[in-house]
Amino acid sequence: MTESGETILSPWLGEIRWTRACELYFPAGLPGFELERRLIPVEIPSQRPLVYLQSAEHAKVCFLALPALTIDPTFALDLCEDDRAVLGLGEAEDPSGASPACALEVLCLALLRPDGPTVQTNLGAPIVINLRNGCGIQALTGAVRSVGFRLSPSGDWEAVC
Amino acid sequence: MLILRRRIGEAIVVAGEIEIEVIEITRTRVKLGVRAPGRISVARKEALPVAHENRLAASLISAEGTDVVKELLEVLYAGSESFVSPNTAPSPLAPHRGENSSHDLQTQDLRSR
Repeated sequence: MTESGETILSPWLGEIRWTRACELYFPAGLPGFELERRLIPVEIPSQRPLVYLQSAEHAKVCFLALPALTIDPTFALDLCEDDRAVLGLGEAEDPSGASPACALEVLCLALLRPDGPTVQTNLGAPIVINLRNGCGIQALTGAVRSVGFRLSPSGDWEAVC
Repeated sequence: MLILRRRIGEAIVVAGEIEIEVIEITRTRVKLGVRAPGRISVARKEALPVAHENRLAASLISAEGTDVVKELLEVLYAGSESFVSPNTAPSPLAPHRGENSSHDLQTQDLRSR
């Protein structure tokens, strides 16, 4: 590591340079990737709002994500007490956990996975990032309505059971 | 299934190296603490299908390369009425393996938003 930050050579994105201030820290990693605790959010202007979540440790580990609200504009986050504690968020004013104030503090991303010729995502397990401290988790049943969405050929997201 | 009764502060040990302690008991929930070697993955049971989904998600780029991004963008922008429009036209990823493409990338300082 140098004063100017760290670098990693991604097979898909080329060389990525970043500083610790840009890094996201997932204390428990992600399910299936428990040791991937440092992820770098990478955005390519011409590809907005796609976000790459690149592992800071393993060049070949990279996720493609979209903000949850671009998939389902009615998406509402429902964080349990434990998840709020890990993220360093205050207690929800709404007992359901879907605090309006929470929306100002967190970014919710949905990981995209292949589904035949298209992609699918599970808004019931969003990546939730506290924008104030860069801490992240993958919330399980983190949506008020837990549903999967599949991208149709027309570009719309269709709910799947 | 082995069934054991435990009180707060009491624990059970699995395979001589995994300790599960009862931390707190409320009316509807039990808080457990788990001490285990780092090589042992500990997760909520409901995380297992998500782990499978995540492995698939990680394969999206690794299996298809950047072509999948190009195709994805074409479909996304086809239905872009409710989509956040970019300032520039979508384009496939320019960089190839081993090229220095850092000028194309922006790491996000999310905390500055």
